[in-house]
This record gives sequence, structure tokens and C-alpha cells, in this order.
Amino acid sequence: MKFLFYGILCLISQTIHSQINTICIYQISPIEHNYNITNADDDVTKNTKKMLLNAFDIAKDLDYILKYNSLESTSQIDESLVNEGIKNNYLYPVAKSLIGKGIYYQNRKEKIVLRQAEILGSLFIIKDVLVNDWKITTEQKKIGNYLCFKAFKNCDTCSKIEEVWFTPDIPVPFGPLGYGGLPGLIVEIKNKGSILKLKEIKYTKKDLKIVRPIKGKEITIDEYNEMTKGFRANAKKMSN
Amino acid sequence: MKKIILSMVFVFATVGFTNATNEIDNNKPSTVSYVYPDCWAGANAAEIYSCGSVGCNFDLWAAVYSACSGQ
Repeated sequence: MKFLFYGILCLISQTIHSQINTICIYQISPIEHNYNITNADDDVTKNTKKMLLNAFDIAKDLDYILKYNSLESTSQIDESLVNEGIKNNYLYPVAKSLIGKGIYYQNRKEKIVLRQAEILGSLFIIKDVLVNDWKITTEQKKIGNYLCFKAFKNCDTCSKIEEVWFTPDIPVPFGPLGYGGLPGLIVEIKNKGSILKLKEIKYTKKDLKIVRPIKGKEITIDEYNEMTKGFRANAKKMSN
Repeated sequence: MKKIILSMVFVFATVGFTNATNEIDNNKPSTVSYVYPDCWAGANAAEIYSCGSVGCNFDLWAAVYSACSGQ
């Protein structure tokens, strides 16, 4: 009888969460000790660490918004409330890049992830497939009111992130920065130098319009990697 | 004599005010400059410290390279 009760409760929770449109707000924080200056650091490293910490001062006040309905999601930095003074700061592009530039779009049915971003002055849509290559662990912790489980990408080279924490309490396969495919909302993403964490969650009964990005030249993730590799190589030649 | 003393007071006051203003400006992240010669190495270092390896975040690489070189 007890089992039946929890089963029904779980089913109701799942139905509510999958039908209600949701807006999640995330914020970034640096893993400070990663940027501590040591005696072994050369001038380039020292300056880079200082620059990144100053950029984090801007980044940690920026909201990163994830919106989803039952089928699609988009996520991006909310720049609507950022004042012109901050936008004109020369470290603002660094701050945005620490979180994640561009608009990410996911479609569960088509199993795709798109990222619309301006790269070297041109607008692109980088297309990737939604691959479920997560390794879910039994490690758990509470984040806010949610019981979360740790997961990581099941290959050494496929991701820049170290780990994510998702909650089956909100059983939707979405997350920020185009990550998803887990049996629950991604609440926290950790990489080497920062943590992007869920700050607030808003449910709305209004129909949430998820806009699929269409402007920009469509390229695959492999083409994107080749393009950026070429740019790095050119920059190295110029610096020599 | 009075004129000389007044001039000296004026000079000291101006120098003091300029130094104080510089101190305030130096505390603002927006006025700190990180222009250094090897921007390529700096951009690579930024990726290593933020996401673990060179190549893990091209946007960050490009933004740091640009901020460093003043472009």
C-alpha cells in the first residue's frame, strides 16, 4: 500500500514537472584556490590568473537562464539587466566566456544540440548530437532542497566539464550550456576553475516560447574545432 | 615669502590628490590592464586554469587573447 502511495506521488510529481514550463537561473563562482599565485608562476601565469579573477568579479553577478518545456530547452546569459558600464568593460567578453557564450538549444525529439554564437566576428550555428554518454555515480548531496546525484562524461576527451549534479526530484533531461540527457535537471556543473549552480527556479503555467536559433552559418562541431584550431595556429605564428 | 609658501601648499595638495585618485582607480577592475607580450601563452594559460586543457574553451581563449593584446 505504502509502495503504491509513493508510486502515485512520484508519477504526479513527474507529470507536474514535465508539463509546467520552467525558468531556471544559474550563477557562476570561481574555485578560488585554482587562481592562487604561487612562487612557481611566471609573469604570464600571474597576469592571467589576476585577469581571470577580475573577470569572475563581473561573471558572478550575471544570471544564466535555462528555459524549458516538455520538448525543448534554451539557455544563455541574461544580458537584459547588465548596465552599459559593465558591457563596456574590456573584461566583459572574458567574463561571458567563463560562463558560456551564445545561445544553446536542445531538442529531445530530434536529439540535437545547437549553439548559436558569434565567432571571430561571424555568426554561426554549431550543430551537435545529443549523446547519452553519462556515467551516473551513487555519490549524492543536497543542493538547496534537492537530493542530487553526481554524473560525469564517460570519456576522457569528450567534455571540458569535470562533473555535474542532477536531481531526479525534477525529472526533466535538461541543463544549462547544452548539457542534458540525465534522468533529472542538472543543478550544478563543475569544471576545473568554476562552478555553475542553480540559484532560483520559477514555474509558469503560461506557454513558454522556446525560440530555436536560425540565424548563422550552420557548421558541425568538427568543423568548429578545425576552424578554431586554425585560428590558434595563426595567432601563434603572429606572436613568434 | 607668502607667495612661495602658498605655491608649495598648492603643489603638495595637487600631488596628494593625484595619488589618491590613482589609488582609487587601481582598485577598479575596469582600469587594470593586463597587456603583456605573450598573449598566445596567456590565452592558453587561461584555458588550462579555467577548464583544464588547451582547446577546452575557444571563446575564453579568444577573449583573453583580445583583452591581452588590446585588440
